[in-house]
Amino acid sequence: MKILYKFLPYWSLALLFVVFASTAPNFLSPLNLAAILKQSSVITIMAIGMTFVIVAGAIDLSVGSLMALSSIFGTMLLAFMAAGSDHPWLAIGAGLILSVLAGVAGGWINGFTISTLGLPSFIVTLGTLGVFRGIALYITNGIPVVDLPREFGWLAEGELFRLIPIPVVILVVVASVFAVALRKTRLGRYTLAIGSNYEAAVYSGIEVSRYRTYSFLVLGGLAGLAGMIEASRLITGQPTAGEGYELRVIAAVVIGGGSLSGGEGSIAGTIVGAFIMGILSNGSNLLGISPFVQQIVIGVVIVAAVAIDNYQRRWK
Amino acid sequence: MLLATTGISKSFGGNQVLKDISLGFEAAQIHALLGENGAGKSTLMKILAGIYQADAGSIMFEGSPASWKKSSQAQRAGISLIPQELNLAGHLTVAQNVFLGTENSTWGLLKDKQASATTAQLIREYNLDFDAHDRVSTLSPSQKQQVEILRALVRAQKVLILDEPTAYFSDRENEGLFRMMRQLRERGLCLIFITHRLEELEGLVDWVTVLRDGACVLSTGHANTTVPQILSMMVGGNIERIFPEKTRTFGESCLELRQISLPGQLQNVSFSVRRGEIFGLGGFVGSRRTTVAELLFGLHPRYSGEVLIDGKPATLQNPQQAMELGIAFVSEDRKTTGVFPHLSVIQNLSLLSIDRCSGRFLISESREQEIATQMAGQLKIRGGGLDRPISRLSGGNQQKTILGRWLLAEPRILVLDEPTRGIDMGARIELYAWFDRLAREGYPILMISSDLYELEGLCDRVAVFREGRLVKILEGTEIQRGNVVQYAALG
Repeated sequence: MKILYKFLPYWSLALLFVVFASTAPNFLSPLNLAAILKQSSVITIMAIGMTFVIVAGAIDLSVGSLMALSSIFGTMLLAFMAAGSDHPWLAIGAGLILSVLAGVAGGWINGFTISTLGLPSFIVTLGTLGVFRGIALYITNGIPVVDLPREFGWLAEGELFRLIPIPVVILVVVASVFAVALRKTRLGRYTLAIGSNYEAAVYSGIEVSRYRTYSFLVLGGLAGLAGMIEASRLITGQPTAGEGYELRVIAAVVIGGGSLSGGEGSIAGTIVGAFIMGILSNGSNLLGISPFVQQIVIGVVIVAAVAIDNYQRRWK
Repeated sequence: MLLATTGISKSFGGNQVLKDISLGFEAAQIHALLGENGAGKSTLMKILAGIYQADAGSIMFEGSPASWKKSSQAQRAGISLIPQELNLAGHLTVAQNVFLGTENSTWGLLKDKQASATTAQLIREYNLDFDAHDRVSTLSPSQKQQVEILRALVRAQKVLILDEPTAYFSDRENEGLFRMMRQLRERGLCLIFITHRLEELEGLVDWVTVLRDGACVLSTGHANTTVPQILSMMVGGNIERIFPEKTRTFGESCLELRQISLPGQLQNVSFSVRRGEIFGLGGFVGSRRTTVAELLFGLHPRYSGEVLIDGKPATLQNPQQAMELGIAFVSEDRKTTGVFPHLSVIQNLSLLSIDRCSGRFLISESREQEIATQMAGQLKIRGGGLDRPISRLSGGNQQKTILGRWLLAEPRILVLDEPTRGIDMGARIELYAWFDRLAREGYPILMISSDLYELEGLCDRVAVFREGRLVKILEGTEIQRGNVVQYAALG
């Protein structure tokens, strides 16, 4: 029983996989499986960052807006440098770095505001959700950034050894780095401690503001990275990209066992949570289930995941 | 006999926590229920209050057999359990809390005025020092306890079970509650009073029952017993020495406070603690002793005056600075400022010394486990696997874990705020031995305590605080419970 509860997200993912594999045509085709991974990668990468924030006992609602804003900075630099240049890859690298840095800066604004004003992260990031989106729309005048080199598409559509999609490669690297960071570094341990008992962390002399801000920096940087992958799909920088992503990102963490009151959550769980949502929507598409119904199902899954988690806690 | 149990037994998963308990509770009686943590007090009380059901045995209430399946049934019959963690809504007023769940209404509109009037009348009757319109969050812990009792009174209860009502407040606050309890006894209520503080029994209780390991080992009139007898019944055997002998030798002054003031809180506090000395801070709750400890840990940066550590002026603007100066701070409230419930015992132990278990980037789990296990062994932390969450441990073992966490951080000065509160006698004796050992190793120890026996038995000197001032430093034979109370109350 205990094993069943403890690894519930994993069992659920396996079950979904089996169900769709046996009912949905072409579900198991390599092309479709690669598509699921590719489609889930943007949300999953951000959800990895969100795991840090949620484990620290905070929340970030601005992540979708920040993703768009960072990618606007990134693609604008990319368009500027690539224009009339023979080195598109240099421009792509520079754009990618700027996007990540912009994301980190946005995360710092969130973390700094929360610490200095002593406000709940929910309120501050509800504000920056609008602020970041507004800036992205303002500086582009609402018009997407185009004229990007065709090579930029590699980030979303390229393949390593003509087999593994590039977004999946990025996802694997990001997941490994941050899984180790959460489990085996001081940063991770302090993040866990702050989320487990904020007051006790203060009384243990942990620099709580600093370490909580770090979790927002991690999420911001990963939002910048995810934003460039998203932009690369259409080879355009969209100021309206990522609307509503914050909820999917948070849902991934929660389905994967993260607790919104802090102190609990894992990178592996989060990835499974994101894949559960990815497989649900892919499989339903193949079965011809209306996307409206999918929304209903995902909503129910989120509530059920938390309800079972709650029940299990009382039960043990 | 108002309430009687015959042969009550109860097991949880093969673990028998109550064995054949037969007890009687009279009307107009204050009945103290004593015992170590884990002796079965809480389980017995929960059975009486209908929260648990006994496996065997029977309960008689007002002459007829009772078998409550739920606490609401027991409440309807007239038995209420007032838990230690109070169930009050802080944002509501006293009157609203008193009537919470039993509000009178006409056409769906609450009769707030009537509720306030009834509450105000009760407050006058019992001579309480708060108002029916006060918000509960503004009350002191002891006043909140009184609100809980009022709540039981409007429900016309006959038996009130008070689960360690005084664990979180100090002597002067107790008096208000005790006065109320005596009044309730006069009106014929039976009060079952769980406590760890034996000094509270005198002049209050009529009957004393001691549980040990789930069995009733003593149940007699208070006049027929003595504190040492009760103690030995609780622990099971003679308690030769609770406190280690005061044969420590002192080195030079290590921590010195000079004219420390904090606006509205502390006034000109000066004292110094020597190496090898256990220096106690006594006083009532609200005497600002905790502020002194927090200040030393850098939590009150706006102080004036000077703190010297090893003769050198120290700046204490934040906890990080305090830690660099070697100050360890075991805070007052284990639950809210001590333990990390999601982390394992090992992780709770190693948290502040994580750099010692790390390579350049990564924590070495084997190294972490090694140093934590060693500390756990030294402190005799018991209660199952060290890799399980700390929340599974008893209060005493949690407190040892927090002490161990600080010892692993290799501090030079120990500041302990109520380090033995809510901990059973066995674990206490072990902690006292540890404090003695640490002092002998040369640590200066600053210890806040509201337990007068502890101040008297353990401390080499005791500074008594009253309203933010240090009124007297007691030394040698002056350190007596009576003196501490006298200076704390009168200055």
